[in-house]
Amino acid sequence: MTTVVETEGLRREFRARRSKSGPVVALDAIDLTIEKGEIHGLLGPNGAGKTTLVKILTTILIPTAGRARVLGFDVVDQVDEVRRRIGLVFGGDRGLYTRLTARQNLDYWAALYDVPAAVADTRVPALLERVGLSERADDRVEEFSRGMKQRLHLARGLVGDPQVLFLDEPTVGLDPMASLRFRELVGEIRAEGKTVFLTTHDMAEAEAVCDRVSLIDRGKIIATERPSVLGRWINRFEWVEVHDLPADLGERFRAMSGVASVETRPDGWSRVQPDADGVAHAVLEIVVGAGITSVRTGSPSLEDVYLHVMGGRGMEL
Amino acid sequence: MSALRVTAHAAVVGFEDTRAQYTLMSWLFGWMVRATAQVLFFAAMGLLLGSNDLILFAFIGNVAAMPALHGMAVGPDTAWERGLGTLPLLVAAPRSMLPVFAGRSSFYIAQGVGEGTLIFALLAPFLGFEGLWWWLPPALLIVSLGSYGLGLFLAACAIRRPRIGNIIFNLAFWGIVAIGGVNVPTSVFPGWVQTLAEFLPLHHGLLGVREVLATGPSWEALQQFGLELTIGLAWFLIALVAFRTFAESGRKDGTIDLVE
Amino acid sequence: MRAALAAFRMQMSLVFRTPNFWMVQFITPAQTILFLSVIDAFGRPDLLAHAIIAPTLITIWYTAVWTGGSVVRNDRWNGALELHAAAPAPYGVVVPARVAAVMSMALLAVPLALGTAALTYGVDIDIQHPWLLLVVLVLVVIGTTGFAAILTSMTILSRAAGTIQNSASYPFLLLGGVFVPLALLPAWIRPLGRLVFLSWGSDLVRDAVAEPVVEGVPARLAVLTALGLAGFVVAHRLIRIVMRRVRVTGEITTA
Repeated sequence: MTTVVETEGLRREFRARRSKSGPVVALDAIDLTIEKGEIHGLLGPNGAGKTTLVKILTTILIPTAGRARVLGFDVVDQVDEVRRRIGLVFGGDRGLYTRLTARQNLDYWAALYDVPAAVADTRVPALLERVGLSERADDRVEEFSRGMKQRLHLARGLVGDPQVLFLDEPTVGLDPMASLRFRELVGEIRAEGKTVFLTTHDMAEAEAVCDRVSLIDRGKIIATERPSVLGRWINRFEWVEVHDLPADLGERFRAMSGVASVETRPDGWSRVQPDADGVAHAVLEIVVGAGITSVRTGSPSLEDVYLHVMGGRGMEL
Repeated sequence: MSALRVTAHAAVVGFEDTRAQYTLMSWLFGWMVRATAQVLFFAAMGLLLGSNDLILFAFIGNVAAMPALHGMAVGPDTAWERGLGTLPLLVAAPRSMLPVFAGRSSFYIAQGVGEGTLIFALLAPFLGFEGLWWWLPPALLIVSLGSYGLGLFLAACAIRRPRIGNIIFNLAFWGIVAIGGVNVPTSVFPGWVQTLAEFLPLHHGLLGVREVLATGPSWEALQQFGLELTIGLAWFLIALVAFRTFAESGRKDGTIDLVE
Repeated sequence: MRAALAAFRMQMSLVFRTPNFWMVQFITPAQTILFLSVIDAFGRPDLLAHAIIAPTLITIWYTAVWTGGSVVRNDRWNGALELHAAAPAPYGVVVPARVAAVMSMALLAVPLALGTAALTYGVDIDIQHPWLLLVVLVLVVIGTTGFAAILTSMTILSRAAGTIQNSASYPFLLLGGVFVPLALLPAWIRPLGRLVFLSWGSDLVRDAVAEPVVEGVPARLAVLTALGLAGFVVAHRLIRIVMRRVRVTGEITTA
């Protein structure tokens, strides 16, 4: 495996303009590596430092301390080399020239990414086709839906044929269908051998798309692992969920050896979390034996990990 | 009374918006430098024409144009309101939009009068004005109030087409400056242009300003100020109708966006 | 070079679709009437060149200060500034090219002023040296473009970009001798005016229009060219310095 992104002790402070207090530490001692061909997620709440990290890796910001290299080039001293090889996609509506057409936007950025004219003549239409915008290529972006704008953003990020693509909250504000389509596109991009670094606070997205996920909170990386492994960090045992769990059964499970917790949610599902081998099986037998058929089992999700690690901060928007 | 409350609250918003844009230093060295230079630029025409009378005429005219400029600046300011996405929230509110916009931009009146007075005080000694000018601030207040109504009407037009808000404003302002008696008396223009100027803001107020600076308060000056306020009120009423019409048609054709 | 051309083309497309970029041109007819009414009131047809050139130069200058000066500010507002910061093409090349596109529309002021004069006062100006006039106007536009590029780069760091644009308007028009030649202004102001390249342009434009013989053309053109090109060079360097500073302080992110 080749490392395409690596950071060592990366730190970024911001000084507030009219504040008398000290600097704000947005990133602190970030050590991160991303391998070639990987889709790497950075998951954290708002203000955790995700966008700051993306901006450093894409040369928009200079770190206060530490180093970062993309494809072997330093993001501070070898800026031109980095910029030629990366693509950047922001989420939301900003960054497009809405009074221009989709094609005009891409032609412009192709030139800024030094794509030869002959190559751009084929690449731009191909990208528009790929993101499903070829029929709207000559319409003004201001007429596009949010999902269409995001797809155009993705096309813009790919126009320079980057080796590494940075996506900063790319599906924010998209409806579920649009998000799903976007994720499919990201999967296709990885299949071409590109490396993708994706920031998000959407757990489902990170779990569905990423090979590895780094959890970030208050400027620090808490953990980096595959989503499934992260889940096991909380509890490697399967849970059992029962709908409309009778109170007496609930008390029985609470008193049962090898059961860590029994929690009931407002939607009527109760989760029985074992913390010993074989207990899930025993719980299931009791539930089925009681004639209850609304039952499901599963492993801890990334959301469970996230909530467990972030504690009360949860998923603030 | 409740419309007044709305206006007062909106005025506070307007003041805070201005404070966010300008510090005292940036207002002094940015805007005031420009405004002073603008007055000087046109007053200096007298040097080319070899006429001290023109220097003073254009000086007074362009000083008075300052409060008119600010009064009319409600137009683009309101177009900005639409761009903020707050317009649909205002339309949905149970009051006419007019008190809100009137209040938000009322700080422009104070700004225009203050600037005009300050520029006059600075330049009058150098440009050869001799006389008392105690009545200038209230006279400029009347000029500003007179322009306010037209500014609100322009605001209504700007709301329908926010992208050309600045164009509407600048066309109106420079048109009035060109024919309103700011740099030359309106008598140099053809009759129909003079008639047009009579029904636009600034013209009568400026005549009143010239009168009070020349002779102090007089019946002639009072008449001109009366005409200025009457025309200002007429434009104000037209603006009221225009705002109501916009709100209705905007609701009918769905041009009021929730997401811009 | 390709990036500069693409940036020019892109901005031209934007200009055609953005009414605010046309705002300044709408002022030209009204200001032409303003100046013509003054010389008419004083019976000075010999000053016709002044009355038509002044609104033309005001439009060119205003286009530079307001619309040219807004190129970077607009990029900042719509989030494209950060994308430019991450792109290989230097922003210091992209910005002057885009400002040049805006400025090329400023030359519309010439037919607007001439047309207004013909329609309202029935005047037809006899241009003594049309080719010299064209060269000077192009140089004035180029020089103003450089100045606008400097101005727009300053808006990256400032929240009060409008303030900067305000203070760059009428003070420069006054010092630039746009209507009243510098020679007629108080003596102490003249050295200041000579630092503003617009004053060189104003005098040369008036002479090209009205003077049978224009003195010192090569030297004056050289000064105009040098000052104009200097503006471009300064703008390019300034944008590089500003973008570097923005990367260090994070001002794009927080402003």
